[in-house]
Amino acid sequence: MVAPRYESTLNSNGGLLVRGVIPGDDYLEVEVRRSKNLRRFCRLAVVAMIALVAAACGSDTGGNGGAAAPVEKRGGKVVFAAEQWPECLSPITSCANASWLPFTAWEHVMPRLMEVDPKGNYIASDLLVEAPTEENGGIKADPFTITYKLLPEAVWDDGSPITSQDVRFTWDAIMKTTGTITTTGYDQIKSIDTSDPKTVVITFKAPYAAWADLFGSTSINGVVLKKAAFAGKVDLKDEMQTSYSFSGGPWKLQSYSQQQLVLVRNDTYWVKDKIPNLDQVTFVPRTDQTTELNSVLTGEALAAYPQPSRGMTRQLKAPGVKYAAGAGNTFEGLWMNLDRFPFNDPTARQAFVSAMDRQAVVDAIYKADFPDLQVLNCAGWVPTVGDWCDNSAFTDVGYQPDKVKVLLEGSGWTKGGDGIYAKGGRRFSVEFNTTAGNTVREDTQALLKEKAKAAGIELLIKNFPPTQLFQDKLPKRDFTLAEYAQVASPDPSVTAILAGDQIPSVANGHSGQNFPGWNNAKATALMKQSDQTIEHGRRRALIQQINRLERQDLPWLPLVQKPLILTWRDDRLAGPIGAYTATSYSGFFNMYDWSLK
Amino acid sequence: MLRVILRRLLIAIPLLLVASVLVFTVMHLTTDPTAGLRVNPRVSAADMARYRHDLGLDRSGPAQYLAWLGNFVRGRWGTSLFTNIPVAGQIREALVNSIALGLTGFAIALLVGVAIGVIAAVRQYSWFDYLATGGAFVALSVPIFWFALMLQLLFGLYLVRWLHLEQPIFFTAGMVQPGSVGFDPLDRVRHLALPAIVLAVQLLAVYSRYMRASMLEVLNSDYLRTARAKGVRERRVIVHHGMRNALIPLTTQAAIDLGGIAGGLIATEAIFQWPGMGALFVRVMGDGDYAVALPWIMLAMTFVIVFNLVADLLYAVLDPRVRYA
Repeated sequence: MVAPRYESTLNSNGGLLVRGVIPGDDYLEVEVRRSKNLRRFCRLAVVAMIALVAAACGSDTGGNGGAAAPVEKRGGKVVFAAEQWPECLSPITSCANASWLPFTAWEHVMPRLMEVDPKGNYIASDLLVEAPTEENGGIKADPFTITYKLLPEAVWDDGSPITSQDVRFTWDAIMKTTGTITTTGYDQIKSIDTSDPKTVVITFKAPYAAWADLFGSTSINGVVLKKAAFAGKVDLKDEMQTSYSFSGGPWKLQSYSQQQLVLVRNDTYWVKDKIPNLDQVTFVPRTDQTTELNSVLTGEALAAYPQPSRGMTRQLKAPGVKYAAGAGNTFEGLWMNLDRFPFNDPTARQAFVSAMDRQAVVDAIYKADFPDLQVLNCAGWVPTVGDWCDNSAFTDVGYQPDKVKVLLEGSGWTKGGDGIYAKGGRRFSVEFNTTAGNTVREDTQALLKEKAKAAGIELLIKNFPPTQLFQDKLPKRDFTLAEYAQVASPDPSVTAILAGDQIPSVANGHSGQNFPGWNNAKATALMKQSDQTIEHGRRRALIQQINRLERQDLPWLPLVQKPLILTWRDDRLAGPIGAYTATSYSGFFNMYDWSLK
Repeated sequence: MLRVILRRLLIAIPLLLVASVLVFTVMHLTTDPTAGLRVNPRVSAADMARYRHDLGLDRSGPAQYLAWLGNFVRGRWGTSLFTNIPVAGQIREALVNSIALGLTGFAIALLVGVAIGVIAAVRQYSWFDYLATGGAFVALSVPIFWFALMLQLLFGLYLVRWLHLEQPIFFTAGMVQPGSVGFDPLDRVRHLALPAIVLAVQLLAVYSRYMRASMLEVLNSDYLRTARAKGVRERRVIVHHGMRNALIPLTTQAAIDLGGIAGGLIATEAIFQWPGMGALFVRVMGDGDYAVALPWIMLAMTFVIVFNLVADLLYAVLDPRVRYA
């Protein structure tokens, strides 16, 4: 049998005409008409598209407010992008370790005792009449006692007064909650006197210099909780996971989910000029940075606080978009394992730091986006947080290949044919670790590697995922040289990261954060002494001594303060935006003062 | 058939157990739920020890696993290690979100992919066929994340500028209009559109190729020729007789793809901030939160196993030549 041949053409109706022809035989012709349903569907699709475009063209009172909205000082709802999303809202259990929890939630909603100004100095919060000092009797030496006077008009959002009982309750909750993230400092409190509802008298077991961090500042669990909100419970492990039922700040938390966190104005806030101008702020998660920046560029979010990356400021040069940047309270450093070759040799460490071109790192990697950034010359403190750092201790440390030569050759190293120094058959070759995928750090490594090679030192780059680096390599001290960041808190204590008894080991289950393993008895004693020194001037002097000992021993080399950046739609938002960009509170801290244009 | 089903389900139980042991072992060895605290200078060694005890992390790995398993088989999924938020609620919410996205993308891909495949086969070597083939290869080659970001820029930035719109036609991230309350179907559609399109494009390319190949096979078969010779209208020949058989291979592939929805759409969800199973998985694996990760794995695997079984059964239903002993 011969197979038919099929031909198809369009007829005058727009339908398909199929003809089957068997050669030498007749043919069969079939018309396939364009379906009526198909025409109907096409019409419906066009109508739907018109409807969607009309919806997009229409003004909307939610979200961004729209450029067509009238210019007004007060009112309006805005959307801000959050680069990380808090997994829950509790300020005292594990979620509290996430910096975006205070950025989006509790620092706007909960009161605190002391606060930190943009320069990193402790000041009285809105809750206090004044900051406790020795002069006003707020600080007493023996026993060491801090007395806070609460403002009579300070109230929760339901109008009930904020009292000393709330502070006492917060202390109990922190100490007794299952899974509480830290009791450091709170375990130094002997008692809290609440006989006067508006006076909090905290008596410590011993002088505690970081007292201002408790119930406030920028620390984890630095809040005052409302006792009456918890119906007698003290173990708050199941509380405040997805909501706060009270507010003692300029904002109230209306709702929280994995998709958004909504804050609304707290009209009962007792500081009248801090009652927000905006009606509502909605934070939305934008954890992919490209999506985050796109959301500002498109106007879906009016502000964002992204982690700075190379070239970011060029992306933000767009109509209506502005940004503010500054040196933050986090600093990058090169941390050496003092128990591993070659850093177990002090001379080798001195030579190594002279092969590190920190200025080139700042110039090549940071300056284009952050022209004001400078090399950091304090080891554990930064010039923009308090006055602990005068940025001078490491100014003599620069890229000096000649000094490398003198130091190494003077202690028995010789340069091999490959240009790398060696001693006793071992080359000055160092495995250099940092977090994989962090392009800024990887660029830093590449630059330092080239410069070090020119000075006769080899860096072998091997990076790990952050979880592996911080969970495994560092706690087990399975590294030689690592680049990572630390935080410069308003309280200058560095005991946790540099004291001799904080070296992680097998014996202590790898706890402690002194990963370099610096064990300088004098420095450790100074740290402990500083932690108990209340008088600012004396404490500052002790800190400077510790700084000099770090310069002497070189357990690590400070690199640079990490920049912070806030970006916003300048064509939509008004107010002192950017004032808190480089603080621990985040650039959103003063959003009570922002308004729509 | 019943025996086949029962046998497959019984085999699934040890499979699920083995998977849970493997995942727990990997997480236990490679993640530390307390890692974030280790580099916080305000958290002392004593805090760490107490915290680990409170979370039960000071027990041995097997003890932790067996404790979890004991509760899980009794239907007690517990709470997240970190948040004390019930695991069942978290997974349910993420699953619903992933299903909404997955089903929408899947439906678009299936409908459009089948249509394209059929037309391309019927009009083989026409401009439509070449366009469909080329388009499929492009869709399969283009990285998802790049395509997604381009769509975000197109709809979120350029169309808004060119058409002077107040808002994008389709929103570029999230599930709902920020700050909104209640359920607004149009808002949901406008948020769902772009991630669904990204998902659909990949599946559509595969399905159109599948369909085209199957249709070409059946179009030249004897029974279609007989149907035409009997005077059956061409549309009925193609749709009723041809497609029905050509859909068999695609149906089984589609059933398997449906099962994969529960495993989440990691890249798409990440870019569009869609809080589905993929986003949940990435978060809990990074945190080392095995209390959420293990039920997640069990659920995702169950979906895959069930839908693989459905695919096999469908094959037997659709093709009478296939029978299971």
